[in-house]
Amino acid sequence: MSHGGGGHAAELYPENQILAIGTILAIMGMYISQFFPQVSMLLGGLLASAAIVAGANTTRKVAAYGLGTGVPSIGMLSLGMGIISSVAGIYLVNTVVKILGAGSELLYIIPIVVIVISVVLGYIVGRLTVKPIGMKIPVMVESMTKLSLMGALSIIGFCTAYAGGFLPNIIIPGSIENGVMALAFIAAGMGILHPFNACLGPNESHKRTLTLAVACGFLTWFIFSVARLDVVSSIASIVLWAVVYKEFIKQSLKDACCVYYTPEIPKREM
Amino acid sequence: MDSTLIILGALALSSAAATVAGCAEDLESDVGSQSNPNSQVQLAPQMGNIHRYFNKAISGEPVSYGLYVAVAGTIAWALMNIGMSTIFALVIGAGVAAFIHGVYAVSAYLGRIVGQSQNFGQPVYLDVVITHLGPIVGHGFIAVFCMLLAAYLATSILGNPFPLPLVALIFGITVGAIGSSTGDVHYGAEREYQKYPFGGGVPVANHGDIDIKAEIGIRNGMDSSYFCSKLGGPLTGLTFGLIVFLDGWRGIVGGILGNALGGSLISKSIIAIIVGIILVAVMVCLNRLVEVYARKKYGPYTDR
Amino acid sequence: MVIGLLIPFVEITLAGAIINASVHFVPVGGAPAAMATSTGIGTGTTQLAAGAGFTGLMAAATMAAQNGIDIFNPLHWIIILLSGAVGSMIMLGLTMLIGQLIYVFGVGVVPAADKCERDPITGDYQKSYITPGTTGHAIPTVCFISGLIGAALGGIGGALAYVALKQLGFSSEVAGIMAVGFFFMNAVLASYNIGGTIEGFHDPKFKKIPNGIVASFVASLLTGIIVVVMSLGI
Repeated sequence: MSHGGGGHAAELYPENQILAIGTILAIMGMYISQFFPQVSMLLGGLLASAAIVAGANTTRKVAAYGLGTGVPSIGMLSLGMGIISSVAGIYLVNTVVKILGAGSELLYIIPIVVIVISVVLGYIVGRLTVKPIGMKIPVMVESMTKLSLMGALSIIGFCTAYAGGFLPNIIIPGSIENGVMALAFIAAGMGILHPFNACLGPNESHKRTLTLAVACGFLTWFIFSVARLDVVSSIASIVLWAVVYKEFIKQSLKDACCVYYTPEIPKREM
Repeated sequence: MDSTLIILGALALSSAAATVAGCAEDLESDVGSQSNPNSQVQLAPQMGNIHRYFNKAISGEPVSYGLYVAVAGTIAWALMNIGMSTIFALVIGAGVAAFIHGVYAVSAYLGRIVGQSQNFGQPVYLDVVITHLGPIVGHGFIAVFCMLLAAYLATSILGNPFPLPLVALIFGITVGAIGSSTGDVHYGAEREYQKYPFGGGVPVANHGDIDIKAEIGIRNGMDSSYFCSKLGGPLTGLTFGLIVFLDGWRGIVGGILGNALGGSLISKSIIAIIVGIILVAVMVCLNRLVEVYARKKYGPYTDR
Repeated sequence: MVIGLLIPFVEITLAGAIINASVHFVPVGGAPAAMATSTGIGTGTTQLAAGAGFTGLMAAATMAAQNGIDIFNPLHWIIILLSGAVGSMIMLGLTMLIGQLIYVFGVGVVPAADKCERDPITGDYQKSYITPGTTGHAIPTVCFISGLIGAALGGIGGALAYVALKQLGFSSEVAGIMAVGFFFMNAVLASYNIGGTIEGFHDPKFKKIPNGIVASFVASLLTGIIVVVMSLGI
């Protein structure tokens, strides 16, 4: 897959603002899932999709430079790092509690540990892509750090929402050992890489990409709701998704040069 | 019943399912123009070719099929856990995956076309979206269902230790990788450039100059699927079916030969590995034969 | 105890470097190859390597899950790795062979490599078979052999990561999903190093392989430390 860089269209909101909101919402979602497991999919899933929106926004920023291997590769890299940091965070805190005999209250910092590990891993892998590999993208290191963070947050966010908590004795049997994390890996990855991969081009607009990112976030939430067989959140997510998706279609048809319903080729005059 | 027989039956069934899946996967990607040949559809308006292809740039095929099969696998697994019968669970899982597929396909078409619409004058054809969505989702459903069946057999009978969602993800990524590296060549190098004479690669200068006229009228994706079903699709299916079959078959051969030698698990495994290496050696020879055939039959370029 | 942690740590670090090296051997032409404009398999580096590596990972996992296989026994360990390698080789070998059939019979091109005058293995002259305006097409013997080496290394790398995680005491499910994430991370690093397309070990770009291996080695070292500390908490 080779894509030309789409250039940088004007930004609707600054990247860091979206990033901060996404991080805070995703963390809130995890704690809500932990303390109120009965609404874990409804609220936890909703808030976890914020991480997908923020990740998709960062993908837009870095992939516009042209990666040479297509947009999907960076999504997979970020989710690969995300999966390592999420599993690592869960087990590492467990290690500390077990070996140092710390109180089990310490387990509640798991989301924070996951964030720290993902930032460190993302930063180091980002540095490695610049030297020795030699990627010539100015924002590579910071974007890899952000993408690793968002990958980890979306994976652990949806896994927590699915299992109903992030404590090791809940999430390991509830989301990891049964393979739901594999779905979190690919579904969140698609949510992060698809919006920009779909919308790139010289006429790409931040508004459209962001709308699609929100739709993809809700769609991922819908996937998890159905997989959990949770009727209320399935309905809530599909309704929210439909509203946003309709908005995306409306914007697209408005921004197109012309819309046809019949097989005809327009006369070239431009 | 003899356990070897059951394993052989499961292997045959999962290979058959994989064959159908591979074929449907490739034809689906030809209708929608996904993966690498899509770069030409993407380039066409810049070269002045206003086209009516479906531009399904969801992501690379491996990632998107990984998603659909993982979605189907997780939902089927959840439904089986509450006691639903296996076949129903697999069908419902594949159905939800088909819905997800359709949603991503539409957003990819609109996103990519509108992303270059103003500059190059490429219109959005809503009739293309509506007419192509059926074949895309339908072929995708067949592919996902068959992959899921193969994944289910792998976990339940063929001794794979991973949970169903993970196996589904891996099978989906594999089928996508195979589909985009075998069948798509037929679509990208031949079908999109049929106006150029048969028997040659596409020079860089011609990139983006794809056929926009069909046998009758203006070309769309469904004509391509018909064309590619003659060679690209079936061969893709054959590739994936053979991979699933041969990889399991060498284990069974190892088991039977190992038993005949009265051997332990180790000797069985070693025989399985040797059989595998022999298979690979045969492939090298076949590849060389095809290469020599092509060199003799087509010959070098003499006019430069 | 220390040895029990040290061996998996070394294994996982090496696994990352091997996975990265393996990707450099696989002849991928990316989008141009799908139009028969450049030599190699017509798909992206990462995804093809992942497809082959995961087939190997599954072969290794199925082997490791059999009754009577002990992952700490060196002989069994070798058998698991070889199973992974053979599984990957069958997958990539068949993909290349059938891809070749489509190139020859569906597109009508002669397999030809652009980055060498003569095929280093068969000694066939290449240049005059290349369509003017392209940089080779299909999969000549040297690329096929290079691809098989890459597949074998990829299978070994994936299997090694899986075995290391199993030796640390993770369950098959956790080890499997971690190995998938680990494989993707290293394969993407390798594909950034390649930057799109590569023909195999005879390609000048192959000389960049040390950069990729160093990058993956460092990243895997870090992952190895994390994983070993994690394993204490199982």
